[in-house]
Amino acid sequence: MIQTIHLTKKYNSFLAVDDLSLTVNNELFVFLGPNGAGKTTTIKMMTGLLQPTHGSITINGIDLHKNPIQAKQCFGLVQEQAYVYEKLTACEFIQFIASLYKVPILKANQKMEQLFEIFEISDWMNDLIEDFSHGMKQKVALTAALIHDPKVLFLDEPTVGLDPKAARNLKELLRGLVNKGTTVFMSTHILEVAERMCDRIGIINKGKLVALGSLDELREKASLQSGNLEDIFLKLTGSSEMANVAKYLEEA
Amino acid sequence: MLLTLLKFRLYRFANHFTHGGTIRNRRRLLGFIAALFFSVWIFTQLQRLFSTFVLFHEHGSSLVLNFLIASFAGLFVFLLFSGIPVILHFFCLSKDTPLLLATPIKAKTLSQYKFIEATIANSAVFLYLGLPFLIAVGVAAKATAFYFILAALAAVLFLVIPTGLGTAIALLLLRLFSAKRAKNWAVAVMGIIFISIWAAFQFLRVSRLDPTSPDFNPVAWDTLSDLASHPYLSLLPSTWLAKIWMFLSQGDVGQAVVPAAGLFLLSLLLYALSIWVAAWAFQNDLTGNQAKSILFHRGKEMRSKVTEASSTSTHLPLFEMMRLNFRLLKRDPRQFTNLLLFLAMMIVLPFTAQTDARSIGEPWSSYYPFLFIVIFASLMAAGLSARMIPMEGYSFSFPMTAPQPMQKFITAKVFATSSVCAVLTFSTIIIVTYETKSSISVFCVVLAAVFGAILSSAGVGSCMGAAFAKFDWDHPKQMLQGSGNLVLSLITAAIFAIGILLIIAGHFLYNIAAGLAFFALYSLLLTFLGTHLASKRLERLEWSF
Repeated sequence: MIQTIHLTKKYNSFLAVDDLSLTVNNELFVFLGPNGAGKTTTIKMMTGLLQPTHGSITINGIDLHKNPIQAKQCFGLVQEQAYVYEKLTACEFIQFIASLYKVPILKANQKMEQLFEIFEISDWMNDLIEDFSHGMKQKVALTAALIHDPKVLFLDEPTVGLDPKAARNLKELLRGLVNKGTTVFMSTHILEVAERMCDRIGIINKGKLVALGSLDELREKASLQSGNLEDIFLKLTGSSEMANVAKYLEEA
Repeated sequence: MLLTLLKFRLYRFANHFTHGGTIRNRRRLLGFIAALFFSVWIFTQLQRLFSTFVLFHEHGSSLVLNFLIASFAGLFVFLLFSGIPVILHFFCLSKDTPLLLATPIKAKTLSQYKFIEATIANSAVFLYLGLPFLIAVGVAAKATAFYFILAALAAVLFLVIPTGLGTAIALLLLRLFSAKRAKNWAVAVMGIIFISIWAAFQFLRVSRLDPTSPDFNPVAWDTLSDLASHPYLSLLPSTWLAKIWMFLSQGDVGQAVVPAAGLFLLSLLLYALSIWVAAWAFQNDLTGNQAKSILFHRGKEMRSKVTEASSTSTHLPLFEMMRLNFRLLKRDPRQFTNLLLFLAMMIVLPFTAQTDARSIGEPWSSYYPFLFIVIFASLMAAGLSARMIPMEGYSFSFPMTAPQPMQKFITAKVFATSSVCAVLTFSTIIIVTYETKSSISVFCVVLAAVFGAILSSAGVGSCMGAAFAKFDWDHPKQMLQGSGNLVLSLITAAIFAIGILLIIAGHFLYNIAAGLAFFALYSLLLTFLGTHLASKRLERLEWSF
């Protein structure tokens, strides 16, 4: 379970995240928002990479600020850019991460092989990561995040760079993990992924949570009888830009 | 089009100064002043040497020529090897290459532009190493302005040659490795070459060739006298340049024509060949093949032999953290080269210092040759430990989100640094002890002092690394931001001086064992303080990448 209370992040006078109170429990939660809305900042605060200006975060009932080590043991994180140790082989990297989470060696190796098979990178497990493509690095980062069976999984744009097959496998995997009791907190720009997979959606705009609920609940909030997530998203985050696009095309 | 490209390159260069910010510009100015002082120092040394040659030897001018031949041969070899990573950078890894490749510029024009860019970048060292030679030769021979103009032109032709040869080698390397890996290894080789040339020139240094100096060495003098008879040297373009300068300075233009023609033809040939080969490489996407090495492994059996272990055994996190640091070090040729440079200085400098040791009384004269080892071991440990933190780059988000205390990560880095430095230093102490025929007691005292110095410097280095880490570095020199390197050097010097004073104070108050005990306590305190402050700093770090 993830719980944030009055979570706020300020950079001088700029309010990146404004008073975010949210509870996510045993579900696949998708966090949507335009560029610069505060999605990545929120995830970074939830994982201890950034310190909140105000507010608190608890992961599985453990206060991240007071007990960071115990809280960190509960979650896995995949960032938008898979910054993995380029001078390690994929196998060495996963074994290193497993040791940090004190995963027994045998279990770690078995899980690593399974996950590498799923993501189809087994043939390169003994190659240096510096030779990998962006998508392959993303797959290694996903394996690292899953190696210790986390109760909570944070994913920041996890499908960026993945091939369609790997993206599909990831979706299936996430659904399965949620069914087994894992909480998944995912930010994405791909609305189709959000629409098809998620249990609930949170929409953030200019640091503020503007909508929260299931797809039907959001449709209701946006006063739309029908329409897909894209329509809802544009309605809730403002669509004045569309008028600018039309004007530009008219003048072009 | 080439002129347009060069014009905008000049704008980019100028913008470094006009839009670089006050602190950066000040730092550049400081660097420029340091380089200027270095050049002036070289010039004064050369002038002294050349006038000594003329004064003490009937064939003084031939000795000047031989000295030029030896120096330029070293410079040529260095420029050749330093050119390879520079070429790999400009042709393959530079951020503007993909952009330019996507524009309708001819591959030949792009090659010319990149070649010129690489030649200028690789020749920067010639400005502060070669220019003092050019002026010193001219001044010694009282040459006219004509000499200075023609000698400078000959130098430009000469500088094209290592870049031309380097282009061929670099493109050959691209057939085998990815550009990034080829560059890393080329940097390592360049470092080894630099160290070798530097060590060789310790034998031919100015004071050894000066009959009035107490350091005068007749063997070095004879070696220099016989140098011109070496058959291979006459084949090097550097020898042609030396001859051109020498003959021009003496006003003998006729003698300079043959080597000048050789230099001109070779540089022209290599320039044309490099442009042709590089254009071919651009057209065949050889320069952009980043993932080459992984393609080589396709079809190869790459399944792992994963460790056999019991179902409950786990790796110790501290041990794994240390192993990670060793791997990062081992696989980064630039760090490896940096360590080799320190190692070479620790081995060579004690022998050059033996002359000075004679003037110091016992017991300190016995320790004097080891002083350089302690100094360089401290600097090496502090620098390496500081770099160990930003060396993780963007991957540092993993330690930050891992369920392990930051203190453990820092301790692993300090231990890894100390172990590497201790092993390297131990080997140099053995060599110097053997060569200087030092006693066992001196050996033990030095060993204790060195290990203490390494540990404390690594601790302080980690603290500086945490304070000044620049995780988004492109070049290892940028791993510490702002004045980090300067502050680190000053603090290391200060802690080193205090440590030595503690040993001396202990020796005078009680005995050398007491001095070492004081030093050990001081080292442990600094190590603990350094790692503690570093972990506190990193725990508060805001990860914005």
